[in-house]
Amino acid sequence: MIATPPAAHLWNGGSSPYGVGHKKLGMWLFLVSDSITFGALLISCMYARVSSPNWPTPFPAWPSIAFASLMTLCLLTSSLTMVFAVDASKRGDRRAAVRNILWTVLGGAAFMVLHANEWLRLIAEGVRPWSNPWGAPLFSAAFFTLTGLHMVHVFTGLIYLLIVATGTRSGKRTHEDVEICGLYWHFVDLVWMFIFPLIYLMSVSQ
Amino acid sequence: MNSEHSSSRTYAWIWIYLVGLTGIELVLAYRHVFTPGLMMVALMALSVAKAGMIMNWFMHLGTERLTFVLTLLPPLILVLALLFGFFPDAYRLAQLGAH
Repeated sequence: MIATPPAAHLWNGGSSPYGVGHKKLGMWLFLVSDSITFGALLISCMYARVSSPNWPTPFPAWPSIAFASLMTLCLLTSSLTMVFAVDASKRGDRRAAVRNILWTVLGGAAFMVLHANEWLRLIAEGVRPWSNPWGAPLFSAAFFTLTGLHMVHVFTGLIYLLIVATGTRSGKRTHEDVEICGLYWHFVDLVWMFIFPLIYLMSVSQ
Repeated sequence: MNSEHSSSRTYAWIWIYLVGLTGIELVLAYRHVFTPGLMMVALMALSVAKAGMIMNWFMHLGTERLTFVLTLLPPLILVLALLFGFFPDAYRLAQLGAH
C-alpha cells in the first residue's frame, strides 16, 4: 500500500501534482527560461541607457513609431485569433481551429514584413550593430539584439504554427498540441509588449 | 454554444483592453508627458499589466492549479527583480562620466 504523502491535500495528491501533461510543462519551463533571457537583455538595455550620457532618441512619430504601433496591432490581433483557434480545437472544431491558426500566421507574417522593412530603412540610414549616426553605439547594439532575437522567435513561431495547422487538419495533432503552440505564440506577443515601449516609445524623438 | 460566445466576447474585450493600454502608452510617449525615468516606470507598469492580462486570459494561467503557477512565477519574478541590482552601478557610471 502506498502511503499518502504529507500535505497531499494542498496539491491534490496523485502522481501529477501540477495537473498538466509533460508537453505543456516543458513548454512553460522553456517560456520561463526564455523570459529570463529577454528580461536580462531588456534590463541590460536600460542599464546601458542610464549609464550613457549620449543615448539617442531617434525615432520620429512617422514612420518609425507608426509602423511599430501597426506591428504591435498585428501581434495583438494574431494572439486573439490564436486564442480563438485554441477554443475551437477544444470544442473539437478542427476546421475553425486551422482557419484561426492560419489567420494567426498571417498576422505574424505581416509583423515580420513590417519589421524587416524597418530594419532595412535603418540600415540604409547607416545604423549598424556597432555604430549609429546619433550617439551611443550601444543603442543600435541593443536595438538589433532585442528586435533580432524577437524576430527569430516570430519566425520560429510561424513554422511551428504551420506544422500544427497541417497536423490539426489531418487529425495527427491533438487539442493539447494546439494549446501548447498557442502558449508559445502568446509569449512572443507578451515579449513584444516590453520591447515596443522600451526600444521604441522610450526613444521617441523630442 | 452560449459559453462559446461568452468566452469569445471575453477574449475580444481583453484584446480591446490591450490595444487601449497600448494607445495610452503611445500618447504618454508621443507627448513626452513624464521625464525619462518616470516614463520608464509608467511604461513598464502598463506593460506588466498587459503581460498579466495575456498570461491570465490568453495563456489560461488563471485556470491552472495554484501549485503550477507558484512553481513557475515566483522564481521568475525573483530572478528578474535581482537583475535590477545592477542599476546603482549604472548611475555610478553616469556620474563618473565614464563614457
